[in-house]
Amino acid sequence: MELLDHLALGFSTALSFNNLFYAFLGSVLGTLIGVLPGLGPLATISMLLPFTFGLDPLEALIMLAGIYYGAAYGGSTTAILVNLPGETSSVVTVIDGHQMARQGRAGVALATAALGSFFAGCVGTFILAAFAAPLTQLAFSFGPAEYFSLMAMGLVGAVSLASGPLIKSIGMIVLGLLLGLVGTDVASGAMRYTFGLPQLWDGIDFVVIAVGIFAFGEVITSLERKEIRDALSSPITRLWPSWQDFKDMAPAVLRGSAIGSLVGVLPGAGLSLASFFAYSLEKKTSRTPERFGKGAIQGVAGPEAANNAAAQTAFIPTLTLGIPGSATMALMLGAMIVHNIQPGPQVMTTNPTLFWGLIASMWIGNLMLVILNLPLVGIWVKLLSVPFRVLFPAIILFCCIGVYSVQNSIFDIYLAAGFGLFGYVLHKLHCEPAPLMLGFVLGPMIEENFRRALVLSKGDFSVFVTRPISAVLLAITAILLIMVAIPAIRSRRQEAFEE
Amino acid sequence: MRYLRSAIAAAAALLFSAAAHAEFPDKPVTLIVPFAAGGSNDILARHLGDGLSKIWGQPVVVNNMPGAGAAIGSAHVSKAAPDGYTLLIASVTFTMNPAVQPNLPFDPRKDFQPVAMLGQVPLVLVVGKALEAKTVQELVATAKKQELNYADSGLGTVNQFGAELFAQSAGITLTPVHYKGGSEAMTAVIGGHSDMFMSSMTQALPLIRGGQLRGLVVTGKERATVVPDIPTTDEAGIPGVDVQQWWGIMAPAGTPMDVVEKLNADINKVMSTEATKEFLARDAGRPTPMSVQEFSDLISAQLKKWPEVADKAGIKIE
Repeated sequence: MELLDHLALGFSTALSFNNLFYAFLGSVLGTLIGVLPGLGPLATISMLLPFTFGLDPLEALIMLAGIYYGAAYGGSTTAILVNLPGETSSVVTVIDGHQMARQGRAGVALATAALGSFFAGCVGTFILAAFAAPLTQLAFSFGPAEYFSLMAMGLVGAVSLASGPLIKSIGMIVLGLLLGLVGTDVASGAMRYTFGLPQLWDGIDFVVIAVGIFAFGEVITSLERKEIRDALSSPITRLWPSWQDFKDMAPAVLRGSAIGSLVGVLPGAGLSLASFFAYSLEKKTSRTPERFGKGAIQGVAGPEAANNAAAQTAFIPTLTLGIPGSATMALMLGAMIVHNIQPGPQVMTTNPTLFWGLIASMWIGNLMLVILNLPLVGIWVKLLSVPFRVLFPAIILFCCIGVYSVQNSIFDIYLAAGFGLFGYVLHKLHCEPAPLMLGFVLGPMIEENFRRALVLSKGDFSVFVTRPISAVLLAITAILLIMVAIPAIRSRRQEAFEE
Repeated sequence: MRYLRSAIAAAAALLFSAAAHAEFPDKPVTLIVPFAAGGSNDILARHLGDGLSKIWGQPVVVNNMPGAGAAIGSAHVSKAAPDGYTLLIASVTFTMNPAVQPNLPFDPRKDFQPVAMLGQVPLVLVVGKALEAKTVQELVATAKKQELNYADSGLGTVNQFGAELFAQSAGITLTPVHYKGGSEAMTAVIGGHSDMFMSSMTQALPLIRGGQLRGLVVTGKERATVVPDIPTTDEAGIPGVDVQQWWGIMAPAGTPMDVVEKLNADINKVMSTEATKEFLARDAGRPTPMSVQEFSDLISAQLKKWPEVADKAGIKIE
């Protein structure tokens, strides 16, 4: 019953007036900034970090955790309303979420995201509190070979992100892989496609491509076609999910929470992969896969739940070992150091009030977000009726600020503008950008881990099938590949017969 | 006529620099951190900035210009006006990058005037569950029998140079495995996927204390006060592993020497306070104030040394 004692300690700490106030303040600030297009959680946290320096350590961490969830939730809001993913995980939310918004179901989509996230957040927090130690071990059992196989699985799953022809989505994945090559090669130090520009040495940032292809591309496309503008401001049919909506989303939320909690533990890969896996799973298990990409509520509920569950369990390596799993987590650790707390395995024993107080606050922060956001749904939806001559310049302005804030680099804004034109061309060719984004995110990781695994095995390829976790993941990949290939081959043969 | 003009110019320059000395700084000073906020460079820069602005009564603006492994921020400072108002916080990698990166957008030898050394912290060699070695001697013995590898946080990083210098001094060969950052490298060593990691003390300390990693040896001559029972490489009979993580301040080349000297004096003042000592000691660091000349000598010695280590170890961009 140690867990109950710990949780009691946590809640008694977190429920003090001060700590509740900072959890609330963090959630509000995080939501308000995160909802601005182009500003994802990383930018939001780094912007608001200095505000927490004056607080005592626990208050500061509680506020930062609030900002983190608020920003992640605000990011989903922009994904749904203006078709702009603020971070990797919301790329999938865009697919069906924005379609729902276009059909006048923006409110339903937002409420689904909020409720799904809250449920998953509760699950994730519980797992974090109860199973932190064994899950840390799971994270360590993943070596380069396992990461390679996991990502190979993700890449094959990426095909299902698009609803158009198979060849187009494969093309987009490959294009994404190529964009991911830009920058310094980790294994050899060689510069690839950098054209002598130091600004490209670190590769292209996710935000640059996302803002360019999604936001700028969308704005250009909409300027050209009047009917889209009308479609976006189509009357809102209903604000709240119906009973049928609840029945549709519930299983997706459960599956999403399970996937997210598990995958989120893996440092580096977890947060980006969770929502992709959840989306692929929903589409594969659905009896109506043809509705995905056209506003399926499961396509919002599953990935949003997975994302938020992963956001919780991503704290596991960060808190138990002081090893950050993402840039955002690194910022949280930086905040601890600023407050004179040495992150690491000792935090749990030397600073139990802080550790358990923070975990309890995460749950409270999630609860506050729901309370805060459900009433706000109506206001966010009204944003859609803002005239486009006001909305578009505002979107572009905020996107530029967001892109600039990533690296304090003007070059990135020009680059994003270039990707805007590229996004417009993709739209003209009816190519869906989501597989490209996944290829872009996975490409560098898959290559690095592949080569690393081979360096460690001294060039022996059998390492991918002799290690059990890796072998299982590759087997699943092979099955997925067959499932993707069979319908394609079958339809090809049908065409051949008809001819 | 030409002589006269240059004489006037020289006189004006002297006058200007004398005035600069009397008043420096009479406007805000910008300290460029060539890394993202939250890292060791950033935290130290902010600490120094606080101290300096109290002495000067002028704000010190800390500006993060991350990217290209410090090259973007460094290039910015190398092209700034040489008046002491734009400074760079550089770290040991400043002297390592040119050894592996032939086309830097600046010349580390000619474009900078070294100003002040801030502090140093030794590296610590850690192993995880992949190895049974309890001491560095056992590790060296194992490495002579079988092929061992080390994790590093990228090609040409301080971790790789540290590991290679250690291997060369101990007379062993180690295979590098490159990871994308210190966190990834350390996770791999804890999980037993890689054999060892020449880590910064800051990163390894909590994990050594927590028992996830074993610290075998710290680099250099002096034991680190935070881990007093880990021997130094010199004590372990592997002399010459002279690599420390350090941070220093650089100005653009051509900055008037009296401004440089004043900066050096004021920075050393901040770095020698008790508050600073405590601040650095948290991560096993210690302030190591130097004169402008001493720091310049250290920079040129290291700029010469790392290409030699890289050559011997075969660290190069393919």
